[in-house]
Amino acid sequence: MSKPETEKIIGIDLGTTNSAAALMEAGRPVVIPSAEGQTAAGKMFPSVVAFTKDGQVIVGEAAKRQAASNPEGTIFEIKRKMGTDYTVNIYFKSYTPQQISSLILQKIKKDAETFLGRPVKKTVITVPAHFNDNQRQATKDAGEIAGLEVVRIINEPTAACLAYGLDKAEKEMKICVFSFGGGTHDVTLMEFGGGVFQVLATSGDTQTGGADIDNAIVQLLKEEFRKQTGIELTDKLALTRLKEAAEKAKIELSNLVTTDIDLPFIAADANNPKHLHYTLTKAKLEDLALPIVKRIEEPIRRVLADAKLTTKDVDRIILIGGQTRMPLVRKMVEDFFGKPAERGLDPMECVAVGAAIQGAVLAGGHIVT
Amino acid sequence: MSIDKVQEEESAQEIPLEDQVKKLEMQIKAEQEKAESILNKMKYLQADFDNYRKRVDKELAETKQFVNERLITNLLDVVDEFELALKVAKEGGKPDSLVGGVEMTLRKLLDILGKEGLARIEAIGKKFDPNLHEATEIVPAKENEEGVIIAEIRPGYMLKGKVLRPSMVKVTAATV
Repeated sequence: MSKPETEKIIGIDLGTTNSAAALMEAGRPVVIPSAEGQTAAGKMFPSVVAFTKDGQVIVGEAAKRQAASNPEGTIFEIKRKMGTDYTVNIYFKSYTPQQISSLILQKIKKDAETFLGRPVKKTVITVPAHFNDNQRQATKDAGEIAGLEVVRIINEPTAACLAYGLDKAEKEMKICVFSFGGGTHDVTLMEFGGGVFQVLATSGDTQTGGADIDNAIVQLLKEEFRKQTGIELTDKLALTRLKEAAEKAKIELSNLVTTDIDLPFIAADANNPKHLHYTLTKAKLEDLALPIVKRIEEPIRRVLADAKLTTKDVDRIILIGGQTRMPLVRKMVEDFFGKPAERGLDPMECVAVGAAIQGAVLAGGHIVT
Repeated sequence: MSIDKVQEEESAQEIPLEDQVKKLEMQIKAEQEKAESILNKMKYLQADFDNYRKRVDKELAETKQFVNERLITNLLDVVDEFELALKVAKEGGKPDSLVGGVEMTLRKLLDILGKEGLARIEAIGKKFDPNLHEATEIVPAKENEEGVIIAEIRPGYMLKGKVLRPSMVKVTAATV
């Protein structure tokens, strides 16, 4: 029984902000939970690495938590530097982006081994469609440094297509993969034919993401509170409570028409404690989000123009990234193309799942259908 | 003997014995490969199933242990708000009886949660640990006093040893 067990190939979504991994088990994808357990990012964990002065290496949620006390030792978004000559200098040592990424991959390897109860050696890692050869090679190197054999590097949008089983379609088609995460969004136009996915065009904006919508809600709440009480909310605890309430309200309004935000004792003046009560409606949230969501239209126009195609030429639409859970985002994309987008998979897990499917295929025909 | 059978025998006679053997051998080989592939698939399934069963057992044990996790996590906001209310009431010189009553209510709530396994994470005066604490504010450290928590902005809690919410703390750090 040892042979099948050693051949598991895990799929890794090595993200700019968050990372995740998945594997196929009895023909079904399973997302590997990170050791820190379920967080705001679900089973994903922050792609953050930290070195402490006393020589410890911390990766993930804990690395993020200590960032404020150790800013010079904490590295965020190393993915943006992959394939460049950039080096990170921390406490008299220098590290390449590959080395930093390898620490993230090592954590994934360890979490996967804990989850499976046996060693994990092989992996498929996803990269953005716009990554060049250097960036792909650097990602592969990071895997090798982490002690993983990178059997293949695949494009994130391709992984999303695999997760939705589009490779099983026996006809040629054009696919638009639309990604909208916490801090960035991008669009990839692909062509599928003869079993191969080919990137036709890709575009994006690294400055617009779901966090902008949360911030807009926080601003609205702060403004409302200032109007009611004349108090400007500035202390850390009040701001944390506002941010948590904003995120929660945004998620709740995916299914409800109104939600109450209640933050008692958020501040106090000389005489009395002050409470914040606000009823946020879906309509108000959409008013706030619309200018941000509208910005995603531009990259879609750009990819269509680059590929010399129109919305009518696009056969399938796939949404990935947590922010696409917002009904307004889905509606905007569907209205733009005049056709429905695929649904049914968790948009945050879909890339890791696609990589796991690719891994299972490469492991050799043990996908049970 | 049916007509079909006669024809079959006749045609069999036409094919040289050697070829027939070859054909049969190939058929056996193909069948063997098929059997091997099915056996392999079965092995994979068996291995997957064994792992799945082990994990389900583990998850079931965890589920039993942390059955109230979500409810308790949601109640942490209420605990915080009670504490804020008390703080404001004490500072604002509210009647002792009112403050005392609310204190009692909070104590009762914490007692109920404590029996479920909830424990407050120690913070002030402790060494900063990113597994338990989240650094939200930094103050310059005196010599050899780096990484010490000097204030708790929001308490953190653990449920049966698992961090539900890290404490938000003010911590000393070397000035850069």
